[in-house]
Amino acid sequence: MKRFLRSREALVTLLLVLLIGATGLFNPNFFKFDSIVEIFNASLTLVLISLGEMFVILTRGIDVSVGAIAGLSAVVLGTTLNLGWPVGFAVLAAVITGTLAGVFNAFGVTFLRVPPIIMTLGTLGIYRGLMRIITGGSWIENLPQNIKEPNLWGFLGVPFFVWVTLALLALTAYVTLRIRVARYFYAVGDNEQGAFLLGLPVRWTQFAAYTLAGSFAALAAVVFTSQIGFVSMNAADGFELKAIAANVLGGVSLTGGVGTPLGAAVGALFLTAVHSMLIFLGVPGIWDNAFAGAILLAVVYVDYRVRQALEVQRRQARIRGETHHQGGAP
Amino acid sequence: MLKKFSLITAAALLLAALGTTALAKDVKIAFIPKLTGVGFFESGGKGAVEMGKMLGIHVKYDGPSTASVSGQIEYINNFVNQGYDAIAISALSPDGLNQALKRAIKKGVIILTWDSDVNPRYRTFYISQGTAQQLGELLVKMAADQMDDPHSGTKKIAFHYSSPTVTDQNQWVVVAKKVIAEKYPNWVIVDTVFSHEDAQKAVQVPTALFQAHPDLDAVICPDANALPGTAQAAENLGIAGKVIITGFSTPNVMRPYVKRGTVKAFGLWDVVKQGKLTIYVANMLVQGKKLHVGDEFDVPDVGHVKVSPNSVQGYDYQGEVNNGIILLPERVVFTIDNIDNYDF
Repeated sequence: MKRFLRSREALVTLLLVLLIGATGLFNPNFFKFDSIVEIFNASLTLVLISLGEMFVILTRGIDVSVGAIAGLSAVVLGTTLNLGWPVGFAVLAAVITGTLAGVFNAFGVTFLRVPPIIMTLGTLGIYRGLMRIITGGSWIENLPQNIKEPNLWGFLGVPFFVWVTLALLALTAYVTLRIRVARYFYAVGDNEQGAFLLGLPVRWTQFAAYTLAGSFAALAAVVFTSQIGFVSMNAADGFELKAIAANVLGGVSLTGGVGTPLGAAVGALFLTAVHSMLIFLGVPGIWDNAFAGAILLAVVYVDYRVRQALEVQRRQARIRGETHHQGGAP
Repeated sequence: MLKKFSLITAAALLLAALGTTALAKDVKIAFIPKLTGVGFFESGGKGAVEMGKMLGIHVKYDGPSTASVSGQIEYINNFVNQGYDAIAISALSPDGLNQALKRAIKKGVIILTWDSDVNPRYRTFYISQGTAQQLGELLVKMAADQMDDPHSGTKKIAFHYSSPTVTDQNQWVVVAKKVIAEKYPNWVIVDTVFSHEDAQKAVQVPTALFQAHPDLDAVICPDANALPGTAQAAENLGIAGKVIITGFSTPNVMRPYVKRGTVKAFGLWDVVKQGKLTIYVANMLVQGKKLHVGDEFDVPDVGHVKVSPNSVQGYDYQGEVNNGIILLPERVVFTIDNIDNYDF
């Protein structure tokens, strides 16, 4: 039980289940399979962006350009589709765009040694600017129906994109847990100098983190475009902050080295689900943002208190253990 | 000597003549949107620039890339400093621009508003898409027209728009709710939800709305993101065509949803014409024309317009001359039959 409580993702999952339960009791329509599935479906964009952001935060960096990268990738996807490219090629173009955008961030942070917040704030502007330059400032509309089709595919009543995201999540979770190279993200974030002295490729690990953030943002853009069917100039605007919040909520520490993909995903799911729940609860829309913010604070605070209590318990246990030991020695 | 003098006079006269024609050509008008990059404003800008070409004057369409009041202030100040004769702006805040506008007026710049107004003391004319009353009524009418019998049985209605702080959208919805209470007491407003101009939320929010109220009859969405988002949500859930979705958005965004029958009718005004009308009026004022409430005139490409008093929008203040509201002659309801005639 203690170990379960000790992980933030478990606490957030528990809270999410409790909230879902409470909402369901209030409005039985919420307990329907479709409603739950739609919450997953709505959170996919943020889950994917948050997963990418997680790698950066693990290395003790920050990337505030991921929303802009998603927007830029969506613009590339939409533009190439409207030029008549087949969906596969357009998606590829979008993913390459996002990855390159990530590589550019990575280059600036690791080789030019620009502080991450400055570098990505700069590219946030550049990428959003590029969106306008490519489109001439107007929305991308009239997208061919074939990009929207994957969103309607499903298996066992669960949409295609939910399966894809779950598969990606499982893969990321496995890799970060079991593959040695992926542990470097934790090592670098936990103690950069230590990792360096151990001979780990610190720069390249950071490089990989920013690149992955770009790639994941591009994947999010594909899901976003398919689900929404048009690309506005403020597509995915503000998602960088939501992704950081999702990570913090899911227990990924901003000081680096701590956190799991599952945590980032649950955090993103939670932040998205809140908005849907409030509608099922009949809370007036005006309260929406304030509620979401308050819940975020409450979770982080409760988590802090639980940890503190556990720490006190642990210390007391140790003192007791030591007293006992000292008493028995002579 | 005399000859030389007359030569100089002639040259001076010629220069003066050249000078005046040059001056007449030198009219510079700035057309500022709430933010650039939104189809609606880009189209307004296109209309404005077209009218500028037609009149042979210089029209500049530019504005902040995000919806920020301070960004608009910067643009106003820049245009004033560059010696523009008139500025037409779609204001982000009814009062936040006052100081900048005051300074502009002091420097002799003529101020107009379009799409979204400021305090009438700080502008000459507001080129309006329609009064809140007209647009609120239109919202209800578009929903009612799609019902078999709007007067019988309980009808469940929801509103979905960007945010309660957006003045114009909020005013329309307030009117729409009043009209519903008076004309259709059998309609129940189950919820009013917001998506804050976030496309992802504009799909998520109505999805939850449809699921929370499976027996919803109509969703009214007077916002450019909310309307396509709601249509997309209905398509994703497979309930397209079973629920009335209407509101305000641009024809290019809504075209696919109208063609597939998800949205049967939605409205807006022709923002290209709004841009043209704005520049036409601005140019009249720069040329020194005096307009009074009740004056009527024809505008090429737009139609017959009339100067209304500020009171049509509920203001108390009314200047003697060159102050009031000029309404676009008509609003448009887009259906599958006419949507292809519009490109914005």
